[in-house]
Amino acid sequence: MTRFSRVADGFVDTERFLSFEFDGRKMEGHPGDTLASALLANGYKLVGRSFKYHRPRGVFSAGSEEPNALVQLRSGAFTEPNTRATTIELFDGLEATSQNFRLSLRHDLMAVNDFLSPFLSAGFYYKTFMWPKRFWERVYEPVIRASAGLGQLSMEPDPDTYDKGFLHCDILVIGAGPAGLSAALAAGRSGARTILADEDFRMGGRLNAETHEIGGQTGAIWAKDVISELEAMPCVRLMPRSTVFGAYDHGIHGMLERKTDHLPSSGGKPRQILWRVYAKRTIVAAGAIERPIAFGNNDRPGTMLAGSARTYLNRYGVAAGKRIALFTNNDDGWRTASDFVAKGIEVAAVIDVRQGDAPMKVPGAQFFMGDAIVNTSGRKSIGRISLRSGNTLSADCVAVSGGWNPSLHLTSHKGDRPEWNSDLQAFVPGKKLPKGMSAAGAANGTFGLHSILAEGSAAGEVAAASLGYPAIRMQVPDAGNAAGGTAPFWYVAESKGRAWVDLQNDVTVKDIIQSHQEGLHSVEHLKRYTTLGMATDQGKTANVPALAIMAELTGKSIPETGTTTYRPPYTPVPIAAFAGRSRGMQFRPVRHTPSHKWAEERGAVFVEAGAWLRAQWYPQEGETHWRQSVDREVQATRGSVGICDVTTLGKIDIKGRDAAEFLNRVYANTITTLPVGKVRYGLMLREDGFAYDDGTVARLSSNHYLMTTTTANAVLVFRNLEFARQCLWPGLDVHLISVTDGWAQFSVAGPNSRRLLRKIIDRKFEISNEAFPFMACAELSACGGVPARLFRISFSGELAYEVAVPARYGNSMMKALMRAGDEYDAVPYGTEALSVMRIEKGHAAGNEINGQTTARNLGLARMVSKKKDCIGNVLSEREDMNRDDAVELVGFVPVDRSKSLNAGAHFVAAGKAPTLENDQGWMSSVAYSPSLGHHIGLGFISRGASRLGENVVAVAPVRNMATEVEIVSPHFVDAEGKRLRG
Amino acid sequence: MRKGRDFVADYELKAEPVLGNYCRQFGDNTLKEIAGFTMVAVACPLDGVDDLATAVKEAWKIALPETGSSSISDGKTVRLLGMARDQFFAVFQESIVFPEKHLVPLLGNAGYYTDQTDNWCLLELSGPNALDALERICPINLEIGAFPTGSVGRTVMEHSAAIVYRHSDSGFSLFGASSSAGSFLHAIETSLFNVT
Repeated sequence: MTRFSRVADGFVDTERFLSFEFDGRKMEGHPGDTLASALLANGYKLVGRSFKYHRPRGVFSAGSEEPNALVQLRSGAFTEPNTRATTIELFDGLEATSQNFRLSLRHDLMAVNDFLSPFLSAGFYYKTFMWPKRFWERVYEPVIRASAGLGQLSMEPDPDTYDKGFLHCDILVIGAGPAGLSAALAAGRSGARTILADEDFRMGGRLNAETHEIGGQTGAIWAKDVISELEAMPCVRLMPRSTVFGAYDHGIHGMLERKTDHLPSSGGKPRQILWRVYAKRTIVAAGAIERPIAFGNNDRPGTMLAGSARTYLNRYGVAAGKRIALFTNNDDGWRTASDFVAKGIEVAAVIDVRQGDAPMKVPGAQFFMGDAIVNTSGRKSIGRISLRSGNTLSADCVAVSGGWNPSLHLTSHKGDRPEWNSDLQAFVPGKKLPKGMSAAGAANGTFGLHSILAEGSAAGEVAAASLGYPAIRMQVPDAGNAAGGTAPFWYVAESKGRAWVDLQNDVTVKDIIQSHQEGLHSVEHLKRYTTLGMATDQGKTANVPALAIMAELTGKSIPETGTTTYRPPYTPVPIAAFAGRSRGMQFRPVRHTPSHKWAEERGAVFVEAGAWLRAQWYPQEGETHWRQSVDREVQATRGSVGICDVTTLGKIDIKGRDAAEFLNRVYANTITTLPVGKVRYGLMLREDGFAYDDGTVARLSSNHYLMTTTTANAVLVFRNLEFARQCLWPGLDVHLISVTDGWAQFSVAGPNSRRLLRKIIDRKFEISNEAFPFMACAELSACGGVPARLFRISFSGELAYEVAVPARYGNSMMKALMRAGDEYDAVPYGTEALSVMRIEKGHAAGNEINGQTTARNLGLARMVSKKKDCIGNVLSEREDMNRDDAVELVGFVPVDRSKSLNAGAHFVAAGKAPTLENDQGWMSSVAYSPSLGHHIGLGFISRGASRLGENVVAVAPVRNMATEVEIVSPHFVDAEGKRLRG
Repeated sequence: MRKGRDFVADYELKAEPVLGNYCRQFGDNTLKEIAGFTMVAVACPLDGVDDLATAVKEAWKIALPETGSSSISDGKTVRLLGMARDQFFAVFQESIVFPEKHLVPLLGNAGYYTDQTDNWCLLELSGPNALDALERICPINLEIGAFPTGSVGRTVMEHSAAIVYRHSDSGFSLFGASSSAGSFLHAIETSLFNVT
């Protein structure tokens, strides 16, 4: 391999090699490398193009704050755009390409934007593209869309899998740097269940990047020892490659674990896991992020944050340049110079904006105190720098340090306002952290290493003690505690050329000035106007310098200027991770009735009814259209007998001394008078008086009722009943439990239904019309002693029963019913035939009881008993719900019987325009009636019951249809009810 | 099937386990369907907790379980799972034809009994990765310290109602709605695959 810039081992395994490819060029790196460190080691300076101006850009940082080095990772369907090379753990066979260019990275045609930059300043799109008007959609938008965006999606389904999960802990420590390790150690030694999460694949934080000593050994060795101790603790869970991206209510945190991203292949296992972490205490030890100083052409590849240059040097053994210039406003920046010199790298100069003596000696380097860089030059990377003092220097890397910002994002997700610390020239966490959360170390604005270790330990101890764990007093190891001052210096006013503040969004100091000049002073406005702080890095390196510049422009202090709002996620989370495993079969649960398998074998066509799959119809050989199957099923049922699986109807078992009274209060009609062994139709109202569900209630014994609900509302009704039981009337002795899944239930309908059931129901039970009349019910046994329930109820209008057996017998029962019905040519019928027959009978269903209709609208006004109180009774009396011209449920037939009808059509008088003013009502359900040989419909029309025989027009504008219809009784079949009582 | 004067079995019904007696190994972990159990919900009448406790004590020599915990009779003929303040589930290892009637001689009218057997499918998960697998789908904390052996919890797994009962350090009984048993099983299988 090319050991262009590899000057030491660092923490990479230089004995082993990994091959990888960038923009088609094969290279080698080592285990422990990131893609960025491997690219730098191979001499790559130019790794990407900027978003707007397509400026050449290089690696700027060594972490998740990276604004520049965004690459397209992997290939084909596995490709992922906008991944940060600084966080990608190198693996063998890694493929990456640069992005956001036309032609090639080095020769980007879109770089013409840079020459056009005077016309493309901040907010240019608000002022241009205004004319000619027709160009907006035809020219401007397509062009902008084509050039916008960074990487590219594969446009193929993501072949990776993702998972999610739930973690619980006493203490969640976020960040495994010196503070986090100390906190976790204290918490773990006390016995508290602790999770230590870090976004990096190597725990230790800055200790891996610095040359600090702790207790007489390097910080990195200390970190390794601590991690080993933590690993051995059963109460501690270490989670590297895990980013806590959001803090939410009640100690809940979102965390993304990159499970196999560092492997060539996931092996079919989940690539990433989205964890929901429930923590009683949280210690944010997320460290700090270095910020740059803006100066002329400070975006040229070779410009890098000083701390990151140290990271590459000390952790990865990679020198970011051969001749380094350091530009700083603080003492910490000088450490970069000394570290480089220690590794034998030439440091050309240290330029410090502060006046006075150099804080340390850097052999071989020139010092420029009180000076600043005003410009850089070089072709696609830095070659020379120009200073304010007029000096020019050759350098191939500028390490810049403008101070450090605590990573306080997570402390602010719940609304804490950060406070300004003028010593640090940075925001630190405020005083209203979420309950149970504390911050420690650099994230809390503490920068001396000894102080960081002490604060981390204390945070761990306090958190553990607050949860009742024994106090384990930690011995804080010896460590240096230097934490030099930072000068408030944000940008070089004398810069030649553009001084970049937000590298990812190409926002310059001049853009901020322009924003100010145009009256957009608020940082929130600044963000929206310039796009500063948006996209993948969310302005981690740019926000504070930008608002400091705005503060200077407005004459306000930085804290007065304030920050934008910190919101999750801290770093980008793939949408696929949020979706998790909810794809395909696991998109949502599917409910099957016990006879599903039988129906499947019969070739049933299924329809989703909520989560249920219901047989819609059962096609037979030769049937080429669903109507043929449905018409046959209806005719066979009305002619002899049909069997329909109605298991999906909600079934609620209600028991207790006060069960009758309870039902009386939840149903609009009276239930207390229902005798044992009888079923009654019931209508439920919402509190606002509108109908919301109907069904039946069967009294199986004196204190035992079985309620059925519609399939769709089973859960809603149960929830409402439980609310009523627990909250409205806790003094009633009543108990509810769902038995929907427990019983397989079948409707057996048609003139031969009794004959069929006579073969099924055990003979000791009499089911003649006299012994078991319409609306009777009984608990009995079937097929030789199997517990069963029988209800003589009819949705079809035919002589009909519903028979229920424990669900484990359901499949077998369906077969038994079919066999028993052989001699009557029994047919199974699905939900379509069921619907046709209920429309023929005039029974309301979900289309009619849709939450917007009243009992009166449904023709059920007499059911709302005025002799008792019930939910919805009072508000159903409202004047407007009882208007004389209210809509009423009636039937409709086309005047020309050959015409079809449309559900959703609205009624207007003949000759009237289909307008809101002329609207008289709507068609709610339609069907072709094989019994009548033409289409029929149910619908609501003003004063409907008194208008039978009148003609109106049913208009369906979206279908461009208008059909003259006659208003008729909603009972198309057996209006007298002779069949169902027969 | 009973046959006799009162029962004539022209058509015999066959009880079918909802998951067909599923059983599969995932590494050292076992996931299997348990069929043939009986589960009855016992609701405590208003102001009747003392009577119910007495009846339970007399019938099985055990105390009423607190919500979230369980009581097991000698010989493990019945486990009482504390489901709510006024409700527990009595789980029997054998299949009982009329379970509600079965309880009357034992507990009299001290509770309200509703057969729940067929509302649930029962999967038993055991092995070293059982907890890891459940961590992916179960929101409640199942770590041994928080959810010791004998604990019971109502929860939701992959949008489906579920009951978790810990019968050993690394063994769980998982009750899922019988209608969505296939989805429930698939969720657990996926979890096991993902962690093994």
